[in-house]
Amino acid sequence: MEVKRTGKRFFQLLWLYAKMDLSWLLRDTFFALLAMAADVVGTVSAISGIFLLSWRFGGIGGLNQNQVLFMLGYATVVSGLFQLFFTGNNTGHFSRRIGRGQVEHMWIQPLSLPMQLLTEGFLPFTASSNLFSGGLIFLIAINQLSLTITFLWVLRLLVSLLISLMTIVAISYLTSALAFYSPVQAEEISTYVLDSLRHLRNFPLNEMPKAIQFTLLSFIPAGLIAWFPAMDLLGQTTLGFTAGFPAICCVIFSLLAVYFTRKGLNYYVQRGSNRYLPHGHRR
Amino acid sequence: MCKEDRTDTSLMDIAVDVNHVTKTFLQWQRDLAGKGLLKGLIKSEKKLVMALDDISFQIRRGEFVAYAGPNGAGKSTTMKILAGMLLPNQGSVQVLGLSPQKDRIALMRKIGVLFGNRTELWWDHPVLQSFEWKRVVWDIPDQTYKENLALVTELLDLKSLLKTYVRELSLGQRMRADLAMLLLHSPECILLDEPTLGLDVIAKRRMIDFLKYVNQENSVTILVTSHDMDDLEEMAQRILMISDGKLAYDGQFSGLHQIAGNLTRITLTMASEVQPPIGFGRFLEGSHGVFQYEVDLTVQPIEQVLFRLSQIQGIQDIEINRAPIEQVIAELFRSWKKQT
Repeated sequence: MEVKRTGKRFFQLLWLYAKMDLSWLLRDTFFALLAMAADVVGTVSAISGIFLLSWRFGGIGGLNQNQVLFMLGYATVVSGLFQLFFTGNNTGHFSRRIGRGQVEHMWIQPLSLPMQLLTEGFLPFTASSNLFSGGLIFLIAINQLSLTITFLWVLRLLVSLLISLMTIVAISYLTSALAFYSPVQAEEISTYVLDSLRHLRNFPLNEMPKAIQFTLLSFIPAGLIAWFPAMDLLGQTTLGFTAGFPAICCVIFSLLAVYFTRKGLNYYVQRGSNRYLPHGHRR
Repeated sequence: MCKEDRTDTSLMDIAVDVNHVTKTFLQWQRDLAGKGLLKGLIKSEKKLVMALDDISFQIRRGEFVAYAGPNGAGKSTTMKILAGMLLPNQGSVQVLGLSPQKDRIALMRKIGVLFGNRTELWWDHPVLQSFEWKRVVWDIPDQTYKENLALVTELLDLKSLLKTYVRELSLGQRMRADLAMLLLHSPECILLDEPTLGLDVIAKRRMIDFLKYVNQENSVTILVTSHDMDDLEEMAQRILMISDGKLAYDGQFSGLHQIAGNLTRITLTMASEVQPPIGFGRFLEGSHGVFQYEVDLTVQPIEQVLFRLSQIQGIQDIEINRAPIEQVIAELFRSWKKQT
């Protein structure tokens, strides 16, 4: 009964934030479209470098240009999903809210903190451009590769996307926890960390030394966000790891993120925050 | 601590129960000299600050209580502890019979919290959107929402502002909208931290009238902090004063005047610019034939004051006013500081 009620509230809140996003878009459509167009240009620019290199040299690291495009499309879709669910109100960059002393706004709502963080960031209208452009790139690559699409493959794709998304969120919250202890210095830490992952994830790692591959699949998990799952979906194994490897890593990162965020929140309610910035709060 | 006019309260009747609460903070200290910098690198220096020192008080349901004290006295810390934003080091807190830490979600459905220097409104949306947001997040029944929206719109004169974007509101308008949003879920208890901060006279007046209305008509318990003591005196029935983290006074405003002495200000308008020798009280200021004195009527009875003044030649006008409460408070804090 409680699960049903929580689920209902979750979708009620998603619907609320979707409506608010739409009303924001319709307030000033010209600027909203401009922002979405800028997003698309930014995304395409970010991946075009790698793609053009692979096109010029007939592939990178053992992958042909269409396989590279498939991987870049996957990475862009993951990025699009992150933007869709975690862009609003800095829910995907929790270090900003901690560093700006804005967590206090969350205590006074009659909702659990996870419920707030999973719903407040939902922007289906103004933050969907990356998802669309990524989806398009992905479809082109599938078509070029003449992949056989089965129901099972689609299911694997969806699960992979979810795991990749959760890995990014977990990394973001894990690093954000530092802001509890050093709010000024670590306010933007999740932005820097996710930016680094975004730049690294676009490189095919196939013929890299094993130590680099392992590092980018574990301590700096950029390879888990695009390369490993893309390889798995293309039917190639990497480093001998099974398809469940990203899920195991995701669970580990998530558990660490939950542990350190809870620990940080306990520290926050003991020490409080003597810093408050209205910037970025409910805008 | 002085206790004035306190009646016994039964547990059911208590809205806020603060029991021996102590809260300390660590403040980083650093020397600017080179040696100090190196020392800080090896072992950082921290100072223990006692924000609240064994504070206890109770507020009955339906009471309107002012919470006053100088900057850094611990007002906001108390408010944050009551709202569940901070944990006390020692002691316990209950609001409406619930623990702000353990029963946060249930409690937030029943209370309203507003910090004057922050807003809960959505900056890039019309005011009405923030109200709608509140309706969904607080899961307010439709009928309650409609009734409360109509009430706050009328009382706070918000009709013309409902469709306006929050970022385009003036500070006074924004505070009105924030206050309206605070009441949409029919809270039984309201915690307000400096709600009149930066407001002009008219906005302040409107807010005071509104708070008095919800307290009297709906029996909402209100705990409010403000730097403006005259506003607090007009709003609240009882005042809690803290100084250096300790509860220094808990009682009615009249009792506060008695403790501080019956300080009165006498303004004399003279025919000439010569300061008249009244022979009592303390001269405060004077220019262009207008002279102001401070007199403690507990020391100098009013009959004597009037008699002495009647003997002075050249008085054109006499004004006798009670000293502003702010001055009374300042005097009290000064005397408490000296004692400690």
